[in-house]
Amino acid sequence: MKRLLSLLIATTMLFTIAFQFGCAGKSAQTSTKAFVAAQGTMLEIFRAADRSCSAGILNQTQCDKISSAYNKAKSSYNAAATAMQAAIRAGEAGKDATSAWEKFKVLEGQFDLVYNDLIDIAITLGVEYTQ
Amino acid sequence: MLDPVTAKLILTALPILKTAIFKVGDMVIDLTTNETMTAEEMIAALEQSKNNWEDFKFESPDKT
Repeated sequence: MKRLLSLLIATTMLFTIAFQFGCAGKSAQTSTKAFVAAQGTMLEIFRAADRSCSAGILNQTQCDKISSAYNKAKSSYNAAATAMQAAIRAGEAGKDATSAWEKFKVLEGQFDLVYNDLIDIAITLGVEYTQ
Repeated sequence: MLDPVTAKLILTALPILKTAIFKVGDMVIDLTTNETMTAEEMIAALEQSKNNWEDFKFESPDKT
């Protein structure tokens, strides 16, 4: 009975570990899709803001504000995307990609802040965009 | 602590378990998304998105 119980516990632990390894590749795919989709949203905001600025709907200060937020988010996105590419390459090469994914997570966190800032500004200024 | 027989059994089953879990993972992804991406496709999609920016056409009167 004791042996059966230890076997059961060990198998459960093994399943958990194997499942985490199994999900690692999938989370990269999910992260990539979500990340690229965020870039698409940023472009939609940019186009809508550019139209509003050109049409004089937004004033100079408002245009400068959203332009600045867009440029910050753009730089941050590129840095995080480069880190994600490095992490995917490391995983594909059979190397330990843990530190590469950790670096990406830090940059992703920074991107989230400026991305949310851009969305907040767009909503505040009434910039209509499609997601 | 695990006894040697149990440990050996687990080590033998590990590759089979891993393959099975990967297959289940693939099935779940196929069901929840329209398509799956290889690592090269993910890298290419990210590269394309990095080069897919547009700059503001609107020019500030103060800057012109």
